[in-house]
Formats: sequence, structure tokens, C-alpha cells
Amino acid sequence: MREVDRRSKHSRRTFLKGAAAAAPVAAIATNIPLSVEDAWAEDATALQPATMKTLVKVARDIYPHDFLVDSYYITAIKPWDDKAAKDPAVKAMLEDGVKRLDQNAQDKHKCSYADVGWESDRVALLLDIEQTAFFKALRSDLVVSLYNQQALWPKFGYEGSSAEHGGYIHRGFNDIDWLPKT
Amino acid sequence: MAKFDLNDDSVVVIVGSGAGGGTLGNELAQKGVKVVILEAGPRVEIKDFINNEWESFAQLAWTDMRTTSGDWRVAKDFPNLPAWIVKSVGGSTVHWADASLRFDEHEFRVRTTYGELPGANLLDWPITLAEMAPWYAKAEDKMGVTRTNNIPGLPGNNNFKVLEAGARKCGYKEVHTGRMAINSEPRDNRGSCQQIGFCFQGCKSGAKWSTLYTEIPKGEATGNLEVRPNSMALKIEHAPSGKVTGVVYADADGKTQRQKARIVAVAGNSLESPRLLLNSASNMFPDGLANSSGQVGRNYMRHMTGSVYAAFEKSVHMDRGTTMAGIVRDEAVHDPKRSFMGGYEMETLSLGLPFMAAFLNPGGWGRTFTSAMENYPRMAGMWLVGEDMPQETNRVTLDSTIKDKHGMPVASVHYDDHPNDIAMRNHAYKQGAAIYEAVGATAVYPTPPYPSTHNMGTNRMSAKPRDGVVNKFGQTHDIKNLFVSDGSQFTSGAACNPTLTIVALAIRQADTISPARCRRRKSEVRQSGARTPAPANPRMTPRLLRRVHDRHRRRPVEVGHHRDFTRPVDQAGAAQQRGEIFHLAVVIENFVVKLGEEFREADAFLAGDLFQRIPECNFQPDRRAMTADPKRAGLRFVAALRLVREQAAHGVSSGLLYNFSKRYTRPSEATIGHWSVFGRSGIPVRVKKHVKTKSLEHDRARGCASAV
Ligand SMILES: Cc1cc2nc3c(=O)[nH]c(=O)nc-3n(C[C@H](O)[C@H](O)[C@H](O)COP(=O)(O)OP(=O)(O)OC[C@H]3O[C@@H](n4cnc5c(N)ncnc54)[C@H](O)[C@@H]3O)c2cc1C
Ligand code: SF4
Repeated sequence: MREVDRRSKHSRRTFLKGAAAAAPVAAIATNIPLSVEDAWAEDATALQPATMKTLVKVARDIYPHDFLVDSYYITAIKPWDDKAAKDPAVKAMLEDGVKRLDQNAQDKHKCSYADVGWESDRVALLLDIEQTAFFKALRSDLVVSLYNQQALWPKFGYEGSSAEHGGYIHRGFNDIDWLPKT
Repeated sequence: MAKFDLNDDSVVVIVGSGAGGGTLGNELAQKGVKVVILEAGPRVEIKDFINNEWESFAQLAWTDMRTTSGDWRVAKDFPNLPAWIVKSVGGSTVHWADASLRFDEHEFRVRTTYGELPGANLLDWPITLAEMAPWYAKAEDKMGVTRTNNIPGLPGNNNFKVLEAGARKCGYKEVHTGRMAINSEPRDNRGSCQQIGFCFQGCKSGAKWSTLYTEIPKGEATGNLEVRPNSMALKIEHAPSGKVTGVVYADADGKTQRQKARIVAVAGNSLESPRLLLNSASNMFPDGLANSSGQVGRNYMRHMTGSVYAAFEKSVHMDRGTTMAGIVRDEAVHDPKRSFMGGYEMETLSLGLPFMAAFLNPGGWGRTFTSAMENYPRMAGMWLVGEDMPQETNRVTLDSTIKDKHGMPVASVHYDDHPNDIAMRNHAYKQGAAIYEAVGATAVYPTPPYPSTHNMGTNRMSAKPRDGVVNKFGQTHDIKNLFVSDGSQFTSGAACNPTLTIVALAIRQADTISPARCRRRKSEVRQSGARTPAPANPRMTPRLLRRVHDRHRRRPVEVGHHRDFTRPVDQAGAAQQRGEIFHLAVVIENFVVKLGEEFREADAFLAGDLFQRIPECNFQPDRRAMTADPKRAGLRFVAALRLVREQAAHGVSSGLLYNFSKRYTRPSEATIGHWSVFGRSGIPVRVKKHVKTKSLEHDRARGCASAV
């Protein structure tokens, strides 16, 4: 069977392109995978840098994929800063939501949300706020803004647009080779 | 392309250009009837389609506001997106996956077969399978459905192969790559499927049937059809007689326009059609047009649906190739031993990664969800689609507060699952899982229903006016020149996908509306001897008129059978009579133009016949219209000629022949006797006897000249 190259040739270029929007050039030049500690969050105009960092952590906890570096989550979260800049209600929802999360984390674990060590503990904190508008908005936006990034598709074995390659008629639409004979 | 005046009241106005509207429009245009199609969405052509799920969704889908209520899961997951359908020329046939199946015999007789079921508003259709058979055959031929008309099935893709292997292991017998309106070989001027895999996003190869690039351009080529995109119908108007007179719509600039009409056919899909009828309420029809039964908007059906995805140890890549070419039909039978009425189909289905994230388990998150997502390349998938029970309380109403940008109240959709639907879904989840487990699935994901793609029943057909909105021809019981032409006519939903039936009904309806057919219908009736024609001259008795008359005789206005007692019965009754008189006038008017139309039809038929019979070598390509390479040009020409012949064989369209001759041939080159098949009009024209016939000297022509 024809398999999809998960380190697809484009991935580096698109990675840089994708991250460029969110990250300062310096971070890319060193080509170190971005992490929550990186300087990109300082770029936020409407939201607190700490809020942005927490949101990225929350994003990963909602849709944890260990083979995805932070840049994909940053790309997914970044547009919230613009939305917050345009709409004070959005800004308040996000800042308050993060504040509440941090408060809950303080109460339970004596540290901020982002510093809670185990994912399962952070997920428990998220479950407490699952019914809030903050969580719902974040999750329903994320399911599109994360999985709709073309750059991450090859990592899931999804090839995207196929018409320009002549479809799959000569590219393995029926090449499955492991089924029992019928 | 025709352009009709807003005040031209001789046109038939069709609202919507999808499976129902697009087909009806073309069929009428082919019969010489003048048609204006109002389409709310833009005209997006094949070249504009995008192989990207969300971008394509934004480009094509109906995303205008709708509201929901009821216990169905869609109301929770997608409160403002009850249906996943299209707003663009071609309607949902741009999105659709092309599974094209006929109803079973018992599915037209559900009340008789299933009996009285608490909560279900079951009713037999006023038509039978036998009556529909010829129309199904026409629809299959028109759409090029595989496994009919000697068209081979599509090749199975990876997703199908998994389904097939599992189903066979489970003992299922009727397993194949489906009856699909997708070309498995070139047909109807369209190529064959390239296994692109974005069938839902608009087929970039044109292999799948869509009214966008089949019916509509064919209709337009006749000069009888005008399609107005970006034209949202807001209200159907009527005269004091009760007869409808035209449609008010918002044009591309949001300006209100009024297109007059002699007949209006509503085909806006089952959410928008009742919305339009309800929004057209007037003093005379306070509950909306054609709603004396109170059934407009009710009995909304959306099929029992759900999906089963399963993950395997090794790769499947289900997204490669045709989205839905694979089916298991064994469970589509009615077998009450399973403890539910009706049956369901299992059909292959794949979503791309972005849609999979949105639909696999809406609202889901965390590791359970992401581990499923990470199985994407190893997943196989099927869609479950079965008969849901019509319920009076499942209905489309006008939202009491929310309006769209034109000020029209949006559609509010209420749906509760019937216990039968739930029992069937659970059975289907179990069987679907068994199929995949039989070939080694390591995880199975029972996926809840997506927003409705199959919308049906909101203007149901009924034998008796009190039980439904339209009669067996889709003509409203209340208003004789108002028709419903889409899936909202369905009395019940059957197990299979609805579109073949919508198309078959539209072809049949065109035959009812078209005046040219009146004579044939009359003779049919005379043979049966069941009815006495009322008017003096039986040759002049069109069927519509006779039905008006019959109904009048058989059903005097009954006070009390209406569900709505506030309706001023007497006034409506009088209006009805006036309407019938007006209708008579319309019918007479139709008759006046009938002869001319028959002439035109005969002409076109003759031309088509000539195309079939004259040997190829007598057709001479116009070298100026060809490329420098004469051999290739010749081949291309022969290919085009064969295609046009094939099309002509399926229904003569003078426009088709005209376009062919205009594109490829010189005027009056080859002559057969006194006839030139290349008259620019596309129909044989008489030419002078001594026209130079250079082409006949061409070597391909030699020896064939006297063949006819
Ligand atoms: C993703 C998907 C897959 C599908 N797969 C299959 C399948 O495999 N097999 C099958 O049988 N069916 C399938 N269907 C269903 C099929 O597409 C529909 O049953 C069919 O197209 C319905 O035809 P219609 O004429 O009722 O409405 P549509 O085809 O939806 O056409 C209605 C048109 O009317 C327009 N309109 C609505 N209101 C107005 C107004 N007020 N003024 C002007 N225009 C208006 C709309 O914009 C639309 O273009 C699928 C549907 C979808 C969405
Ligand atoms: S798979 Fe076939 S039918 Fe579907 S979009 Fe591609 S070419 Fe068209």
C-alpha cells in the first residue's frame, strides 16, 4: 500500500510559514521547536501573555497529540487575540476564564494551571468548567482551527486536495493488501 | 440563454435548482415550456470547486440562520445547522454522494405494511412502485446510474474492500459498489470517475451527476430556461381567485423583484419549501399557501442515520476514491422480527480529517477523542441510513423571533426521534460494528447523526386533501397552479437515499405540467374508461383540468374535516371555484400554443433521428474550428459526434444538436437529398439542390454518400 510520508517534504516549509505568523523571527532562526515559554506570547496585543500561554496549554489538554509541537496549538489559539482586540466581551470571557482556571488550580494544587504537572490533573480542572461558555467557545473553535491546518494533515496520514494530482485512480484508491480473501 | 421579462406571466417559475427544481426545469424546457428558475445561491461551476472541506463548505453550504428544538442530538451539537445542504445553483446535488436507489414496493404502502404505530403519522403514498417504475427507469438513464442500463459498477476502493470483506464474513449477500449516479465510464459528455475522493465538495471531474452541469445547461440550451442565481424567493403571491400569480424575490443586490408566473413550482428542499409556503400567508390563506390540511411543514423526516467508523491495525486510507460507492443492502428489508419497522442501508462513507474532527463525536475532547483521531489512516467507515417514522410534531415552522437579512422569519426545525428510529439505530450500530470486527477492527466508533442531508416530507403527498399538501403529481390540493417538486413531497422516507425518487417524480411532474402531453393522457384515461371528460370537446381535455372537475364533483366542500377551524371555509370554497375558472383559462391558453410546440418537438425529433442514422463519414468537421493536427481533430470530432448521438438517443434536445453543429461543422456542407443536417438551427433545413458539396469528395466520404 502507498503510505503517506508523515515527514512530508512540505512540513518544514509549512511549519515555518505557519509558525511565522505566531512567532518572532528569532525563535524560528534557531529552529528550536517552540514551547509555551517562548517569547511569541509577548506579541499578543489584547490578551495578557500569560493568558495566551495558558490558552495554548489548555488547547493541548483538550486535543492532546504528542506528535504535534506547540506551534500548531499556537497557530490555533493566536486568532483569539485578534478577536479579543475587536470585542471586549471576548476579551473578558478569555481573561476571566483563565483566571478561574488558575484559581481552581491554586485551590487544588497550589500552583497555576500551566504548572500543574500531570495532564490528568489538568483535565480534571477542565472537566469542572466544561459547561462554561469559555470552555465551549474555546473547544468548538479549536476543533476547526487545529485540525484544519494543512501542515498537520500528513502527520495524520491525510493527504488533502487530490484533484490536482489526478485523484487517486493511479495513486492507490484500491491498494489495500492485508484483507482476508473473500 | 433565455431571458424572460418580470411581467411575462406565461412562464413557469421554479424555486430552487437542485435535484427537484433543476430536473423539472430542464424537462419542461425540453418540452418547449418557458421556465424561470429562482435560485437563492450563487452559480459556482466545476472549476471553482475546492478540495478542502471547510473552504468548500463556506463556498457551497446553506449557512443562513436556522433554529432547532427537540430531542435529536443534532439540536444539541449543531443548534443552528439542522441540515447540511447546499445554497448554490445545482442545490444539494453539488454536495451529494450519488447513491441512487429505488424504493421497495412496501415502502410506498407503509400504513398498510406497518399498521398503526403509536406516535407515527403513517400514510400510504397515492402512488405504487409499479406506477413509478417507468419514471425510475427514465431517471436512472438520465443520471447514468451504475448497475442500470448496462452501466458497469464502480471499482471498489479501500474503504469498500474492508466493508465487503467484513459483510461477507457476517453472511451478508447483497454487497456491491452501489447504484451510483457516477460515471464508471464516459457517458453523457462527462468523463469517468477519477477517484478524487471529494464527492461532497463538488466533483471536479464532472463524473457524478449534478443538475449544475447536466440538467441546467441542457435546459438553457433550448432557449426556454432562465436560471437566476442569487435570487431568494420570499413570498408567493396569489390573485383573489386563489390562483398563484407570481413570486416575490430578493435579487443579488437585495432589491425586491416580482416575477409573474402562470405556474409556480416550489423546490427549495424540505426546510425551505414549507418555509416559503408558510411565509406566503395572506388574508385568504392565513395559515400559509396550500395549508388547508394543516400539514405544511409537518411530518419532517431526515432518515434514521448514524455512522460506524472502525480502526484497524494496518492502513486503510478510506478517504481515497469515491466517498459512497459501497453498500450492504440485506438489512434494508422490512423484517419486524428485528423489533422495528422498516429497514436500513449500510453505505461506505469517509470524511477528511477536518470533518472527521468535527463530526466523529461532536463535543468530544481529551485522549479518547484524540486517540481515535490518530487512527485516521487506519479507519474504515460506513453510514447508516434507514427509514424514520413520519411524526406530525416533527415539523418546520417560522421562527417567531429570528429573521434573515431579507426580513423573512427563519426556519425552525423540531425533531424528536421515534422509538422505532432509536431501535433501528441501535440495531444498525451493532451490525456495523460486527462487520468491522469480523475483519479485525481494534476499535469501533458509533458516530451520532450529522446535520441532515436527507430532508423529506414537509409537504407530503396524499390521496385525500385532508391528509396532506399535494396530490400524486405534486400539485397542491388547494391551489391548482401551485406545485411542490422536491423531497418535501415524500409521504414516507423509505430506507434508501431519496434523490433518485425526487428526480423520477420531477420527470413525471413535468409530464403533467407540460401541455404537449395532454392528448396522450386523455387517451390513457379514455382507455381506462373510469372517467367521463367534462368539457364538450374531449380532444381538448387536459388532465389537469379534468382533475379539477373530478375533485369538484366528488368532494363538495366539507365543513369540519379541516384541522383548522378558523379558516373561512365558504370564502375559500368560492375562491377555489374562481381559481378553477382561471385555471381553465390557463389551460385553454396552453392549448393555443400546443400545436406550435408539437411542431417544434417533431422537428427536433427528426433531427435527432437523422443524427442517429447517417453514417459518420457524411459528417464533415469544420477545419477552421479545429486544431492544426487534422488527424487529432478528426478523432475529436468523431468522439464528439458519438457523444451527441448518444445524448440524442436519450431524449432529443434541439439545443444540443444546435451547439454541436455550431461548434464543429460548416453550414450546409453535407447534404442528404434535399436536407442538410448542418443547418445552423440544428434541425434539418431545406437547401438548394446544387449546393457545392466539397465534403463528399473527401475520401472518408467516398462510398457512403448513398447510404441513406
Ligand atoms: C453531503 C450530502 C450527501 C448526499 N448524498 C446523497 C446520496 O448519496 N444519495 C441521495 O439520494 N441523496 C444524497 N443527498 C441528498 C440530496 O442531495 C438531496 O436529497 C437532494 O439534492 C434534494 O433535492 P431538492 O430538490 O429537494 O433540494 P436541493 O437539491 O437542496 O435544492 C434546493 C435548492 O433550492 C434553493 N432554495 C431554497 N430556498 C430558496 C428560496 N426561497 N429561493 C430560491 N432558492 C431557494 C437552495 O439554495 C437549493 O439550491 C446528499 C446530500 C448531502 C448534503
Ligand atoms: S471520486 Fe469520482 S465522483 Fe467523487 S468527486 Fe471524485 S471523480 Fe467525482
